[in-house]
Formats: sequence, C-alpha cells, structure tokens
Amino acid sequence: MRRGSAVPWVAAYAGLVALPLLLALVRPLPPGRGFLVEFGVGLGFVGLAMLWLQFALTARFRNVAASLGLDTMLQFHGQAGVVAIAFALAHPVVLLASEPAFVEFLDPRVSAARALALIALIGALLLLALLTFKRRPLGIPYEWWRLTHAVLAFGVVFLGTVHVLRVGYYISVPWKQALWVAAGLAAVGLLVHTRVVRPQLLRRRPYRVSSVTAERGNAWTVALEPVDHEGMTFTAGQFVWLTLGDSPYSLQQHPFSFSSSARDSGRLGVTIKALGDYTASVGEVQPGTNAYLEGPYGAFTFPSDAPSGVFIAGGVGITPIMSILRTMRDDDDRRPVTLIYGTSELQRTLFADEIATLRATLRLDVLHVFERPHAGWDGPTGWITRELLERALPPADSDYHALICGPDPMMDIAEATLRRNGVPLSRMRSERFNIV
Amino acid sequence: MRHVHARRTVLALAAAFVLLAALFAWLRGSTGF
Repeated sequence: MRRGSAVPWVAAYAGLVALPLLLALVRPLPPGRGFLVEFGVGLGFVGLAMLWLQFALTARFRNVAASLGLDTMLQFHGQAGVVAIAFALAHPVVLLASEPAFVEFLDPRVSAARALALIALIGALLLLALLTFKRRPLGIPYEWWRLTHAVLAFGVVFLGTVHVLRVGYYISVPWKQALWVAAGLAAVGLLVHTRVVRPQLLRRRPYRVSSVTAERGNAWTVALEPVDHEGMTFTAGQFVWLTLGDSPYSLQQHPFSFSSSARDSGRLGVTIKALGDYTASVGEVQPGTNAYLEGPYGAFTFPSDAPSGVFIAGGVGITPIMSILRTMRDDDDRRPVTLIYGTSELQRTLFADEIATLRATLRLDVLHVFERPHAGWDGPTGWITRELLERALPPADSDYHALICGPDPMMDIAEATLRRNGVPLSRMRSERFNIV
Repeated sequence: MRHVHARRTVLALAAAFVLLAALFAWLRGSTGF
C-alpha cells in the first residue's frame, strides 16, 4: 500500500475550517463592529471548526489512513489540537482586549448559566492540553486519559457550538442555525462512531488468543485465531488496534504491528515488548482470552515494485520487518534485502535465531549492531549512527526502498542519512511506535 | 521525516487561518462589507 499525496486532504481540511467564516459572510449580515472585535470572532470560528475536525482525524477512516498513514494523522491531530485550543482561547482574549464590556459573558451576576458554561469551556480547553502533554509526568494511566479526553472533547464542542448558537450574531437565520447544528452533530456523531459503533462491529468478528510465546528481550508473541470467521488479510508491515478481554469497549486498545506472515491470515501474530506500561503483563495473558482487532492499518510496507530493500530496525522495531521477511519467505521473494538491526545485546535480540535461518532462504544480508557486544563479536557496536549507515548503505542509484522502524533518535538519524545519500522520500517509509 | 512534514503543515495552516480571520475582520470591520 503506497502512501498517496497529502495535498488534497490538507486542502479539504483547510476548506472545511474556512467554511464557518465564509458562511458568516453570506447575507443577511449584522453591522460590522470594528477590526479587532471581528478578528476575535474570526479566531473563534476557526478554532471551533478545527475542534470539530479533530474528531474526523481520529475516526480512523481506512481510506484516509491508507493514503496518509495513521501515525501521521495522529501527529497532525495532536499538533492541530494545540493550534485549535490556541485559537479558541485567543477568541475571548482578543475580544476582551478590544472591548472590555464583553466581560459580561463571564460575569455570573449577568447570567450565571452563561458564565459557568463559558468558564467551564475555557477550563476544559486548558485541561485537554494539560492532560495530553503532561499525562506521563502526572502518572495518568492511558485508559483514564483516553476516557477524559473523549469526555472533555465532547464537552468542548458541545459548549462551543451552543455558545455560537446562543450568541447568534452571525447565525440569525434558520438555515445558518441548521448548518451549525448539523456540523456539531456530525462531530459528535464521529465520536460516537469511533467509540461506540465501531467496537460494536468488532464484536461480530471476535478472535481468541491461541498461544503466548516468550521471545528474547522480554517480548511476547501473542497468536490470535479468528472465532467463526475467516480472519483478516493484511499487507506485511501493517498493524492493528488490539483489545484483549471480554469487551471491545475496553479503553485499553493499543496499536501493535503484526509479526506473523501475511500469508497466514488464519493465525495472526503480534509481538509485544513488555515495557513498564500496559504491556508489562502481556506474558500473563492466558490462551483462550478473547481479543478484538481493528484494522489493518499502516503504510509501512515493502512495495511490490521495489527492486531491493534496506530495512533499518531498532529493538522491537523489528516486529513489522519480521512480518515482511516471513512473508517474503512464504512468497519465495528473492529480491535482495539488507537488514541493519540495532539491539542492546545478542541475548536480547528479538528473532535473532529465525533471522539467521532466513539468511539461508532469502537474499538477505544482516548487519547486527550491538550496544553491548558479546565475547568474540567483531561487528559494529554501539548505536546505529550516521557513519555506520554510510558504510553499510548500498549506492543510492541502486533504487532500493528503505523501511525504518525503531526509537525516535535512531529514526531521525536514519531518515536524515538516507536523504543525504540521495534517497527520495518516495523510496522511504517509517513507522513510529509512540503514536499514542 | 513524515512527522516533520505534519508539523510544518500545521504551522502553515495556522498562519493561513490567522490571515483568514484577519481578512474576515478587515472585510467586516473596516470595509463595511
């Protein structure tokens, strides 16, 4: 699956954000109120429109996600959210600065309900940003954050839309009111679709954990079998959102890459490293546990028209690449591939034995990089650096496609080095794991 | 690389939206549109 151009989607996004402002310019128009007041109003309209669209960005529409990449969309959601909140907060600031009489909106003596609602709205906006950026330092569990994020987001668009309708300066005619109500309902509808309707659909296609196998490096491979349906077809390198347990409504839904071959759709495998968070107890998952899979997602795939490949993996970033290598084995795919794989030490190197076996069947060159080399190791040590990559990369004119997956610093170095070596973005795909 | 692009895109959009709000304010507040 190749990533398409982002330009049409960005243009559509910009057009939708501009729509409330354009709508406000359709006659009949109220009297203008000076540049600063109208600027404050304009910022408010833009902010609310961006907040509505936040719901579309996380709705995981397969066709949009396929062309842009879900990780990119979630990054955009996070960054656009900051901008949207800034616009929404600038709205009262600019209005109060230009016309202090607007303070009556926040004065409970004038209208207690209005003042409370607007103060709650401002508080909710600040809280949304605070909880998102300070979730880890504050020690808030992911599932609680996810719940509060949805509740706060719902509160913000609800109060914001009601605020616009109640003020009604630019929305005095019924058809404009109807459009605003429709936009607000659409945003809420997207939230309901993502959080209620989709889990309900997943319930019809349950999976069962068939085995949990310990791997090197404190990782576990969870094998999943479809229950009374044909399973899922995916392209090697893609990932799913996995929920373990009895209910697809669990807030513990996380993205994991498939590690199994894409030719084995009846027995799907994801490999999960047990870190200090929700993954810590993955080794205790019992066979027979129910599972729900949403996906597949992701554009981190090895294109069929690529003449050769350079795969750069760090630690558990080997997971989607393992799926690609196993699929190449099953397809008898003889395209030459170089794997550059950085890990802490051999004993903790995920899939080390199978990769050694695959060298015999595939046209696969493997360059291990160990942070702590074992006795007798005469290969590269330390981290994957620019110097190491420049020595190991094939000449750029060999038209290889590069796949990069691992920790952020490694990916930054790998992407920059590939660019410097003349590899265009069209021949480079990355997957970042820390998307949520 | 992609994440850098996302950030640049958001910054460019934010700048465009500020200009759009200013255009709206100029039309409504200054020209009497």
